[in-house]
Amino acid sequence: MNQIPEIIRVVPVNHYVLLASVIFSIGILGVLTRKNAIIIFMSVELMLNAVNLLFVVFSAYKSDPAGQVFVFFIMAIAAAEVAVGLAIIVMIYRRMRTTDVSLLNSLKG
Amino acid sequence: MLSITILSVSGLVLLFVGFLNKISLSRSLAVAGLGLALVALFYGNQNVLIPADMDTQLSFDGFALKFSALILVFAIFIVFLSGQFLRKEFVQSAEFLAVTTFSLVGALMLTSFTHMITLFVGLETLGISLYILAGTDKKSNASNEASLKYLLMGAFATGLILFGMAMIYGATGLLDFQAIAKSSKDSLDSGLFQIGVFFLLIGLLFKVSAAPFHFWSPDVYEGSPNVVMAFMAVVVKIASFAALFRVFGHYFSGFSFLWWDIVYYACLASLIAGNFLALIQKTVKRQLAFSSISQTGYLLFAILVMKGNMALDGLVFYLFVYGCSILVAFSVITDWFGTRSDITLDELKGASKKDDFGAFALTLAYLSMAGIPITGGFIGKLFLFSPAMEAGLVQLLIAGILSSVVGAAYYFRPIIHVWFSAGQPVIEKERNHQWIAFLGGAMLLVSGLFPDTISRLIAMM
Repeated sequence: MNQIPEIIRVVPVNHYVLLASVIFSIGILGVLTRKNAIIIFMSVELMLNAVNLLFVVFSAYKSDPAGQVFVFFIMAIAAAEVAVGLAIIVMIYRRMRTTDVSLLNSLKG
Repeated sequence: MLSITILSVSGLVLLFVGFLNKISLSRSLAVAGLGLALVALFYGNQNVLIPADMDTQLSFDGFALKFSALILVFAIFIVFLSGQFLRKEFVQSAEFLAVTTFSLVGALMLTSFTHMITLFVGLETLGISLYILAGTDKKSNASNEASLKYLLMGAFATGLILFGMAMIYGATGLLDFQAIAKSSKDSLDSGLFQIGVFFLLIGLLFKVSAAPFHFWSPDVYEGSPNVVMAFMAVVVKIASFAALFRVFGHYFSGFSFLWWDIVYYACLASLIAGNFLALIQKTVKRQLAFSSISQTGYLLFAILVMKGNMALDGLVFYLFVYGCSILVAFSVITDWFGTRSDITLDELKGASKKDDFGAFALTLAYLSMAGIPITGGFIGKLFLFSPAMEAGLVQLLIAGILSSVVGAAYYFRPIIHVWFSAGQPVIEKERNHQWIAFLGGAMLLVSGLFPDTISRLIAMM
């Protein structure tokens, strides 16, 4: 088990940061441009997973387990968020028969 | 720490009491739980559950106590306000109260965290509970929509905050805020750290709904049920400001050069956007939502000057007064319109003929939000402006004062409607919440006429 941090360290840290930043940016772009609530939600998950990757990499490079513990917290809470989020999307779909956020415009000023 | 335990347990108990289907019993239990947590805040301050030699990730210091006490006091009144809403069809009363209690666990964590994990867990405990609360009025399209919009924007902001945390962790290798503040110069100068602070700040500004990251809040406030909007405007605002102040006013105050400019422009933008957009709103709740954005601008003053206790006590005083005015406004609105969520300003016309006490209380609340003398809002603004004056933020002060003048224009519209416009308002006869309006109105006058008593009370905690 001790080798996993070493395996992670085979690739330079900059590459990981770049990769995570690209995934994170794809997530942000998805949230800002997509119209389907479920795809927006998936983009948010992409953002969170980019963060998880960053935490694991930094944790391996700093030989500090705290970062990996944080990843477990993020996973658990993201799961709770998905549970609530999908319930809300189902509730919306039952009433409106759509998950397109641009059609949800009963609130505006 | 003990308060958090009490709140969690009482939330669980409330879920089971829900089987009995007795709304008044559940509400009294919820109030009892909150009251007990409030008492435990002051008497259970010793970390009974965690041995002293362990590294604690929550610390109920003076700062946390002040904000937590405010949060719990206002939460108790909001549970009192919720009675009519809970009796509405399709509203799950036990779950509503339990989720409210659970959300307060997150709110208390946001006032007392010392570690990134506790900050994140607190934010999400509060956030996830609020997505549910915003959608509790299941048969209303507006409520559903508010819930979804809040979920998507809230999760997005959480992503930004986490990215910031990961970058800070990458730069310093630390998750503890105290340790980060003391870490070596090299790691603080790295690009990773600057990106991290930037993203953490943007995410937290999203959460406090400062302009230009405010666009979600009018929709969410308008669509949510009235009680939930009052809860968001008071309790959630206090909790998220506590988090922002704790990170940037306290732990990161040493490297203000990284974030000061962003907060400055967010403050300016919130003052302008909040006050000017509120001018053109037609519904009561949307106007209050934009007014809440402008209040965010005033509250950001305290973070900009960060002169330790002075600015902190001013912030707590201002939050107290603002919370009281929102409570008074919502208790009157609940008495007049019940649980209706789409009240236009025109419907207030001539309301004073039906209920002059309510009209008087509503006037007091709006005057206080506008910052007119003899109400607490004036003193609160004074407390926030005077350290800014000493710090030499002249341009910001001018913007603050000018936008309060604009603010007065829209705060006076409902007042004029209530007292001077002719109209036959459809107002219900219920007067259940008069005592909250009376108590809140009295606090607004006391804090306006004898501010020393309140500020001494705040300083004592």
